[in-house]
Amino acid sequence: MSRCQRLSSRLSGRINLLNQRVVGVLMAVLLLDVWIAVLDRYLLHWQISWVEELARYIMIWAILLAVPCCTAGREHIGLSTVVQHLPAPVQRGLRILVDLLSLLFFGYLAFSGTELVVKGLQQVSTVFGLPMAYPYGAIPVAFGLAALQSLLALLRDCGRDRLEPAADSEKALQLQ
Amino acid sequence: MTIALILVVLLIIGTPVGVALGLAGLAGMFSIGGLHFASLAPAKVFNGLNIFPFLAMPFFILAGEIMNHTGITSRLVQFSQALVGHFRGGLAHSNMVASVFFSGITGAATADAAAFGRTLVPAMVEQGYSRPYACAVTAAGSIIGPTIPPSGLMVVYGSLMGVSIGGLFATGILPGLLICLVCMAIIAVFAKRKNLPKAAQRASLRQLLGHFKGSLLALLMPLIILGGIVSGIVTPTEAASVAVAYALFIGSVVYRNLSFAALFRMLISTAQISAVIYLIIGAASIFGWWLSFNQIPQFIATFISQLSDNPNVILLLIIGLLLVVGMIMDINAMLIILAPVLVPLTEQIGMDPLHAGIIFVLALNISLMTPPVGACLFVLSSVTGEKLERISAELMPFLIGQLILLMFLAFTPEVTLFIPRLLGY
Amino acid sequence: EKVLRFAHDNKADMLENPAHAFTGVFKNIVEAASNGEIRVEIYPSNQLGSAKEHIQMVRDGQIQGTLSSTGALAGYYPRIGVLDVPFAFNSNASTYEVLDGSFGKALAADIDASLGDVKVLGFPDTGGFFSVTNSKRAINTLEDFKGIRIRTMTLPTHQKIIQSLGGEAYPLAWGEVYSSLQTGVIDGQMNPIPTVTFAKFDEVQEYLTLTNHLFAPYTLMLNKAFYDGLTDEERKIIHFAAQSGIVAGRGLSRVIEASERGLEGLKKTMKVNALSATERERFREATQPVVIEDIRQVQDGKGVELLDLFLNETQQANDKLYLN
Ligand code: NA
Ligand code: NA
Repeated sequence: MSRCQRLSSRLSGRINLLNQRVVGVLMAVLLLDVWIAVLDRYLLHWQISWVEELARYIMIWAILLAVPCCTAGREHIGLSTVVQHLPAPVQRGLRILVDLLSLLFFGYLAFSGTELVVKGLQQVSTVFGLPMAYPYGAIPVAFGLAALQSLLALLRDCGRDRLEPAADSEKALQLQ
Repeated sequence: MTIALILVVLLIIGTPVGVALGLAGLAGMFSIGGLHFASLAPAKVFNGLNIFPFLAMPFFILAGEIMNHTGITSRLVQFSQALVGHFRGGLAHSNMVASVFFSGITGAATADAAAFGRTLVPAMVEQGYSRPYACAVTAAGSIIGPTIPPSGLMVVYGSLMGVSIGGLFATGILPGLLICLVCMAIIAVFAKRKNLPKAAQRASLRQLLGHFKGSLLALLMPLIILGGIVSGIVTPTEAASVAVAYALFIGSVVYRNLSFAALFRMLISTAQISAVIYLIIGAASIFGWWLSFNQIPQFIATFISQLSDNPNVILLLIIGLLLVVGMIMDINAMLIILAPVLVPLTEQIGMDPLHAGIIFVLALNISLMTPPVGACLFVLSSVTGEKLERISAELMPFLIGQLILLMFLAFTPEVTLFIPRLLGY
Repeated sequence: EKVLRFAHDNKADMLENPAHAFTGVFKNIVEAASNGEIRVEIYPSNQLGSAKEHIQMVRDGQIQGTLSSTGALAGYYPRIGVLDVPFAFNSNASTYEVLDGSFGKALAADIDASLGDVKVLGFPDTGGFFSVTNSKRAINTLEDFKGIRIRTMTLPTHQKIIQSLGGEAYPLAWGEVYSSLQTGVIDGQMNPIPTVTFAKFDEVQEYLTLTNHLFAPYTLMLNKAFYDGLTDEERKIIHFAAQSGIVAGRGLSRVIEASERGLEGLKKTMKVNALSATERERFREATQPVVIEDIRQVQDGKGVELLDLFLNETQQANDKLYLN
């Protein structure tokens, strides 16, 4: 492993750890929010107006922020059967190309997402009356991180088939 | 056409499905009006996910994760073995029955395939089943999970097409059980010829009761979910959060093997499993926008209705299209892109929305097992190390059986809709 | 040839909903009168996105026109909230009068000025007044509202109206309303008559009360650059096509209300009642001052100015007799 590979591997792991913690906390808040909605109707009778709106925006933040985690662990599903039948150098070239394509897509969404956030400054959410820039912010932040993670994954693996513990790749496929 | 070609090439070279759909959609937007149109993409991703009932999906996954953590899966397998293990091909039969039990705590076929691929497939191989056959049985049974409630696919379908999610859940029960019966019949028919092992002793009533008691808490979960919805205590989305509460109760109070750290890890893994799907849904929204802007959906719909005005033929065409596209396309992307095209056609031919919904969901689930792109096949192949082609060959009889069942359900709404009607949907 | 891409959030059937009735008439007149110089492409049923996205696409120019609901517009133009005054109108005729009159003009001008990139051409009908349905009891008096759980949109003023009437207001996502009414998660909901039939709420609700407490029109808007790029002649065509479309949409709304798809049909499946004049006055007194106060609190100076104009104009329209 070259120095560059080790560095990107470590950096990717560090960022991912922090990223996952934020995701975990957001998921917990999301769960509490929906529980409150049920409790409200039967016990509290506060007729809370913000439960639905808050749940949608936290869901988007939490789950989009999990996208870079999946990128770091190469959990996004793709078709591997065709590529596997090709000669090794071609495989390697295609893997590098695919990483670059992911970088391009995530990078574009992050870049163009900042425009969305700017538009969102002049748009208010229905219940909170807050600028939509806050929920929209999930797009540039999550996809910016995803772009960074695909770059680090590219530097880390350099087109080689990364030997993943099987459990990780299964996780990625667990909801269809 | 160019855009479709871009999509296919991207998929073939192994680009993640979400990235491929997104890039093809971006290329389409760009071809309409340059960056000015491509700049719509982030909003499409955001709004494609900004749907409250989508919440149910991560919550059902989380509930399943917690239940698994408590070790309930192995209890369910033991109970199934006690029930049907003594027949010829006992473990294959148990695999099917366990899929039915497991379905109450999972909303996804691949979850079932992964769990059983790791546990039941090795057990079957040890007893003398061939590995490809063991994988095929597991794959065939895996689609029972997302057919019997809860079901992630039904949540997405219901929220996008405005069909009652509770109603879809109720409609799924019978087809799910029928899949199990059909597959067990196929196992039984070929049992002698394949010389399937017959290992277990018939369980005594006392053993059976013991295993039943061990599984009871898991078996109650679908009843709690559906009961909560049908009785009007909760909405389907809230039911998912209640399922999490139930799983937490079982893990922390009954089995006492759930720690905060473990729960926190499951919250993260739930988000990651969901993120894989949500990326595809968000990217499919970009691609879908390009299709809509070019009015391609209407073109396909008009084309189908011009081929015939016979409702039965149209229904067959719809199912055929789903199965063919399902061979190469991810099912969530298909739902986003094809449902808005095909569901209005089912309305035109007078199909009940619940009936149409369940046929749609079943056809998509079946395509999880059709090569070359079938997520359940991928999972089993990666978990067991068996070649995809060999699993597919053994899967054929099951696939044919399930297709016949799909046709039967498609043309007998009175059977399909029996349970939902009984529950008032 | 100029292409006007027009999106809305309703079904693609001219005889089925006021939105498509508007769009169909608008398209027909624009294309015929411009002799094909302006082609109108319609994207119904949220094909291109949600109502909120439609507005953004019109503003950014990927599409050229849309009909937006007040709920969707509120995100971009919070002053639309002044229309949320309950029991402001006493008849459909007053809604035409007010929205086509000096209030409509002032509102359109203010939206144009605030957004800067759209041209508002009028306020088509979404299907008429809001009514309340529920599964508990017929609502004849204010007291009948007590303890009934009503689903509202996530609009604070809508919640406030139900609460001021004595009911409980729970916002639920649209996708969950039917099944929640069916299973009894909530007891009732409020919407215009065509929405009640369209969503088949009559299958799961027993009582329909013609409270007529709210009227929320569509806002018809075009992209400003597109509008400015038209010739004077073309602009004239667009305006009279819009006017005819609005009349058609209003006409269809009234027809639907009167037909099997409206009250006539609902009377067979639900127990329908209207409020007595005295009771309606009690409803108004219970809600209007509170909500007006709330609106005054959240609106800026310009919003309050619009509110006062709205109250004044509705007052006059309510007192006016046709051809009199
Ligand atoms: Na299930
Ligand atoms: Na497939």
